[in-house]
Amino acid sequence: MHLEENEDISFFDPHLRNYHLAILKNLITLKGGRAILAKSLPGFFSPVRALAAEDLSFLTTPKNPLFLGSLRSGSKEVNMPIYLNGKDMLCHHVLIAAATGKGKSNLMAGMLWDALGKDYAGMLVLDPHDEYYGRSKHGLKDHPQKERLAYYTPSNPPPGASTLKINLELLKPQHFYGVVDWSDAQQQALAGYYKKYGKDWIEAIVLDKPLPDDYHEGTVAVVKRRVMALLDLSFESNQLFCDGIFDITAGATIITDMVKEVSQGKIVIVDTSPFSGAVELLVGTLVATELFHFYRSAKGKGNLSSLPVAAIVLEEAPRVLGKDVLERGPNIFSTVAREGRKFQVGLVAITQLPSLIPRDILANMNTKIILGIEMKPEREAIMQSAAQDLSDDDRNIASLDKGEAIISSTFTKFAIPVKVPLFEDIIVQGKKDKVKTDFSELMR
Amino acid sequence: MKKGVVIGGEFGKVIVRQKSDSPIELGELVIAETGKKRCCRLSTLLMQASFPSKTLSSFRECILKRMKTSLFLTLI
Repeated sequence: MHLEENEDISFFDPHLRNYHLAILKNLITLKGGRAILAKSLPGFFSPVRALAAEDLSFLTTPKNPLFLGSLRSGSKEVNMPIYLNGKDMLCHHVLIAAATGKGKSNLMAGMLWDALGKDYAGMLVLDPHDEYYGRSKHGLKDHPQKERLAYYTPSNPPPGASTLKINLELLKPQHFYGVVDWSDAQQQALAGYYKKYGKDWIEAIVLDKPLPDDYHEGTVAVVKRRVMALLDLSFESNQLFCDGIFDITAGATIITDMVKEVSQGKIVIVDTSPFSGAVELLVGTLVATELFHFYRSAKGKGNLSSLPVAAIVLEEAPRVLGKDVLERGPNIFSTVAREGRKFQVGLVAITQLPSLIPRDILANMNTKIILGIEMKPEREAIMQSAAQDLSDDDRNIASLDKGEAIISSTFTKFAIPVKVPLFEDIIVQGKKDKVKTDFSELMR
Repeated sequence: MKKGVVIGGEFGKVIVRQKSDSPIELGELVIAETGKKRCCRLSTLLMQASFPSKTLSSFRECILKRMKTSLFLTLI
């Protein structure tokens, strides 16, 4: 110990005299191989030891398993895969919260990879970064069961993928709500056009066809201008030109196809990377609305239980679930967050800023996967709405490194610390497993 | 591997003295064993915080050893 005079001095028996005290939280009590909620304290002077694999015999693989990662103890990975019941978890909504670079996309890619091999869930992925399919790198296209994957992109679709073209006749006024700010008068004008002209209502707006009620000409002009800008339409020499993904002739069945694929347990990736925020939301709203209506109608017909769970993966969730957005009125995503569970439709909301999402929506998301979050207000928003009491885990969450996560869910007895594997490693492992399977079949 | 011993606490805040050569990491899962082996109750504990402590109650009791001279000093 060198301090004031640089003298070489030390304590007697330093290990006995100086030590560290640790404050620990009792998670669960294990008795006779069963895990029960902790309702008693460990005895005074009870020895404390490291976790061993045999202590975890209660962590069994559930029905419809969805792999999330391996159990983590501090920064060490324990050889114990963590699965949740994917069907329950997805239809009760999932929130993935993390700061930039902490592994949100890697986690999502891993979840999609695992779900792709199972038939209990169909997923609609609105992919604003075009990162999950893997056009120019590893991605879901490398999955052994890639026939269960559908990829829609607006430009240069690779073999097996589809061009994203949406027919104008598929659009309805409610698809535009929440996408851009409309005044009451403008919303009424949209509804008025649809009521009078039906599926030709967009064309009627562009061609300045008359409305039955007395709408102010300024309102109608603004509606026309905004609709044309949003849908990338132009009008010359009495002819309508479609310059974007919305088309007069093509794409008449695209939304039905997507909904059908999700309801067959496929994963549908929609590449929205070339679009502006509003167009991306319009496409997302359109598909999500039709998917929700399909499942709601299936419940009415009594055949919901035969369908897989439908999950909508939503990046940058506060764009559609933020407090300021929802103050202007509900949209399809907030409707799914509140009512989707009854119809087997769930949300997987990904965000860096969970504090922007209203508390009632956060509370409806029964599984929260928390990766590293440095900002205290964001941690507090998550902790206050978690399925378990995480009020003392503030430092724990702040110290999560890349790929380290805590899963707080109504489907787990305690908040489980996990280490999320690298997606590249999952792909390599998946290929090895495939080789093994192929080899065993040859031996028969 | 022994990590420490429970020396107090309350619900949600169990205090463990750590073994000096096997520190417990933040977020680490450890097991506290209560009772005899056959009817043992295991508590899974999650490390939340750690701070240094000492057995010395005051500087008056602090005994330092001067390594060079092997002379014992007692601070006032």
